[in-house]
Amino acid sequence: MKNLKLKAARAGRDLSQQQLADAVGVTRQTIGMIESGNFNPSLQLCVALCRALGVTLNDLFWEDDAI
Amino acid sequence: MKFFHSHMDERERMEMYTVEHYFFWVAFWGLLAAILVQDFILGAPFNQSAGEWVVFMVIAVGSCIGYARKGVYDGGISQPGVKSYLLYSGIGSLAFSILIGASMILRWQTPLHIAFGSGIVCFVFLFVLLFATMALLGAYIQNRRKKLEEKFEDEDESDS
Repeated sequence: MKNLKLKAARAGRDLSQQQLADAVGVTRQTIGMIESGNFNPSLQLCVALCRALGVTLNDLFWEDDAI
Repeated sequence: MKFFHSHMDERERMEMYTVEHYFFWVAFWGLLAAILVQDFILGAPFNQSAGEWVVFMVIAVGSCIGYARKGVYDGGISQPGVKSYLLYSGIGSLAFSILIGASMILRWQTPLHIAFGSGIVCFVFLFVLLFATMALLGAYIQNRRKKLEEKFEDEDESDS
């Protein structure tokens, strides 16, 4: 499942995938794969992404209709 | 002081482990197949495949010890118990007995009834040996699981 919230939050802060990747210490490919839903990050990386984007875990990863 | 700093992120590491996992099993079964073909079909002397046997046993025993220490039994297919010990001992000893019997017929032209009898004797001995090993390993794994549970138990839960 695509993570459009992450993409939107990143674009909202005018960050490229590379800039976000550098901020959290991963490769650009990893950010791309998280956004496209091809990789599930660890909780540690999720928290790092949230801190870098100034949002909460709920904002990025919670799906209301997922259940 | 660290001389080499890893530039891998968690996804790359996970993908590397996945690749290693697949090729570990390819190497494991390939090595076993190579040993069996050499020893039982081509009739090579033991000293020719001794090195391969050593490597194979290091991998097999090392993996078993590693899994057992982490409380992992058989990749989650079953739980340690008599049923599982019977099944694995049965499969292992049956496969090896068939191999022994077949190689006796093919390599040494042993009469069928002698090869069959040897196969049965081999099966019984191996079955007992494997069952005992599995039972010991299973008991150790259950003990390890209990210890790991206690080690990481929530203090609030243990008080109540």
